[in-house]
Amino acid sequence: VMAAAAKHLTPVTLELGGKSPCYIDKDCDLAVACRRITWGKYMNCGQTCIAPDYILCHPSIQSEVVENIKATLKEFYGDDVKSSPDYERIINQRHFKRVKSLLEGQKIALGGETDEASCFIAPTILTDVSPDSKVMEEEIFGPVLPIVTVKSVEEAIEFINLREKPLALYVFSNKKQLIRRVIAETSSGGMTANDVLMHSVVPELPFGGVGHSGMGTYHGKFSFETFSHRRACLIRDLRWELLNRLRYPPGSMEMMHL
Amino acid sequence: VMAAAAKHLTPVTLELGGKSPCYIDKDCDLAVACRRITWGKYMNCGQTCIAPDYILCHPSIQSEVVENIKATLKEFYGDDVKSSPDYERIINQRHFKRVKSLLEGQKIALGGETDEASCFIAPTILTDVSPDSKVMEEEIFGPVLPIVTVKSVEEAIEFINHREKPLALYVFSNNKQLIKRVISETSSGGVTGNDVIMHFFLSTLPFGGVGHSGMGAYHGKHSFETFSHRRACLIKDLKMESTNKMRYPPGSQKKVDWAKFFLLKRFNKARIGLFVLALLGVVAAVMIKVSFG
Repeated sequence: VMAAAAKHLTPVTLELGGKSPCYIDKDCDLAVACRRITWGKYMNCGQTCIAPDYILCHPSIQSEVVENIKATLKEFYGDDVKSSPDYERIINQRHFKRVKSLLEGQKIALGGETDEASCFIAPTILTDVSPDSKVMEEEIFGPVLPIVTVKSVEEAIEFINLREKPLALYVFSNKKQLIRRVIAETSSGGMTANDVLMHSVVPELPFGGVGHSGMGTYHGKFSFETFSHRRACLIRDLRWELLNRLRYPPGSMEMMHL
Repeated sequence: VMAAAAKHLTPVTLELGGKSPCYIDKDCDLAVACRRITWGKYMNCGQTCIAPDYILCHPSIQSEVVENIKATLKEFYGDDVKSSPDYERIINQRHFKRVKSLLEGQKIALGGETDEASCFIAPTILTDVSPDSKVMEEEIFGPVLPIVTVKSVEEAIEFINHREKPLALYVFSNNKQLIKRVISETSSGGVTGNDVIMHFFLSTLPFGGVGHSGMGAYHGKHSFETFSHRRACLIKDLKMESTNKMRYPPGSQKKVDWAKFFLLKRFNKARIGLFVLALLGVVAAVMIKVSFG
């Protein structure tokens, strides 16, 4: 798009995407955190630009995270997800096949059922995912949630920084210091701590990406600024011409010193 | 540049250029106006992105404009411009040839002398220039000042709007209304009224183009904003989870109704509404305390 716009010198604001990491600290209310993550991840069947793409957490809480998400899914969609009126489907066959192929060779802790006829993919969680696997390459944009284990927040920050800048970043922790540290040591389009998606809902906050996740921002006042040209107008007087003598030639060292 | 940056998704701020028009109203102090225009036009031999490119004025003041600029040039550079230490040269041979070719077939009211060896082009003014001539096609970026005559400010505005949006626009008039009118009826990167170039020096003003003259702005705080990414960070708490119930599935009409209430109903009475709401909150809190106390 940008290359096409370049031909006509049209300015662009690009809202792209990326893999939005979601770091869960050991010190946090896991039940609440997982409920919010579940809501954000499986909303519209994971097909939102700012859905938490994958989870980073300590190996010791991995199974607890899975259990919590499982419990929340039952709360939200009932026992049979497929028949729930609130659970969506994948947008088309092409993406259905794409997302389904990401499951190959993965350890499926929950879900994994698919139905090609209705483009249905059950809410799925993958555990002990390898950072080099296919599901960790591109934005998933589907109801598949990989969990990558990290030993510490430093490892999580390093993991995030090794990759392209995401559109959104999520941190769950009771420790405000830790949250601030993650914000300071990483870069992303936007971020929400202790929740998901909500920073895009606040109209006073600029919404947009950085690096590979996009350029420019909008929402609320920022939309107005983005799509307008702020024209600098300086209206002077024709009087007080004497003061201008300083800038006119012929130049001289006295003037330079002044 | 933009196409190259597109390959790497690098955001760009482009300061391009254009033909910066300079409209001189009949009602203005011509001596002062011409002195300022002369300064801006021939600074660095016309090789600045925001130099006044061409003049638009009424035919009746055209010769007076030429005379004033001529007098100012003498003030600035003395009788022999070529020997003045303050007058610059064209940057290279290629541009020297380019600017020189713009003079062909034009009515030269002043200047026109060139010297290829030193890339010297004398301060030149062209009068009664046709809007279709070569000198009116691209940005001149040289010490050649065409004057195009227009019968009125409406004609000037129309003339400017027919062309690509310029990087700068100049208006000289004692009539502030006229200046404001030109500003509102045209578009340009920036404007200076009754002077040239000065909007570039005010670091609080954003400097940049629009349309074909560029995109994005910088200078002062605007540079910081342009080259930074303003990252939205929303830090919430893990408490108060019950208030979130409304957004979780399963959906229900009741939830939709509540959502509509919170999102669509706007208490638009501004501060008074907010005050009333706060008051109601206090009353409710007191009542709760009393009833449970």
